[in-house]
Amino acid sequence: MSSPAELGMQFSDLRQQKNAYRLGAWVFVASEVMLFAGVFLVYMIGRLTHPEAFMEGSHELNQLLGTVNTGVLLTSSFTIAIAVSKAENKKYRSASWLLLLTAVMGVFFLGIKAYEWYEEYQRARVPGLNFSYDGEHLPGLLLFFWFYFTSTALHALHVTLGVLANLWFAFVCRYRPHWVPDPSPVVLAGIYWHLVDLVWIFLFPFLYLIGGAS
Amino acid sequence: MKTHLLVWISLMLLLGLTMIAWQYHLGFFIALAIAVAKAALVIAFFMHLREESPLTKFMAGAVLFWLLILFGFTLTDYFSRLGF
Repeated sequence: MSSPAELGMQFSDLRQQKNAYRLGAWVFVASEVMLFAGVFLVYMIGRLTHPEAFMEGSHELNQLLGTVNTGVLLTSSFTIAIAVSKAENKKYRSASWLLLLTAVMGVFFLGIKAYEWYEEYQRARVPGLNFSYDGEHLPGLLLFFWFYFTSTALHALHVTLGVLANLWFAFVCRYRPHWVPDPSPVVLAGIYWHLVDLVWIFLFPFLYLIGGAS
Repeated sequence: MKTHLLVWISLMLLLGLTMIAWQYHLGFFIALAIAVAKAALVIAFFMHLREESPLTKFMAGAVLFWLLILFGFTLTDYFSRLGF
């Protein structure tokens, strides 16, 4: 019995193997979406019950850096999409460079995000650490910043894991291509990175763009 | 490669559009619609859901259904009790 080198012993053919990988990835995506959906649900209720406070909180954020970060993450989704199609065509060397580039953009995103957190720390807006505000929008503004830090930190954690995955596969594609005779693991890293991008696509308007420019 | 480039350009244009909408106070639902459009592009073309098996598509569709339950039922509760 002969079977191609990239076929795992538990699968009967490559098509089944490919579909199993992708289905598993999407089940994981589904569970991640449900995790973030809980966070977004809290946002929805918070905003319905404290509309003015959420608008004020949104105006306090740095829209310029938020937009730049959105651009960076959308672009990194583009580069990893090309990396995946290179890997699928067994062009592992170019895939490796593109994965590295994607990881660098992820780090850039985290850097900007950290700077924004630092700005908010300086303006005494970190709940549980130094939150202090004596305007009329309590407790709504406190709720907004709890949501802001919870959601961006949870997202940043996912970005960090994505960066590590991208670096790992950049290494594997460059130096150990025989570990991925079937490029599916690289495809899955791509799907994970796109998920991270998807979450930010929604977080960005929810956090930064409430109520229009002030 | 060409498709990916076109999708990236569309994503950047949508990002520009959402900032213009924000400048002119076009409201949250415009921003949400643009976010949905961006997400649809990423899911269909970057994540290649269009080319997946029916079972995988069903899995992805099931998420939308659960989101509908989560948000729909919660909203029914809040809208009926708080009198929005």
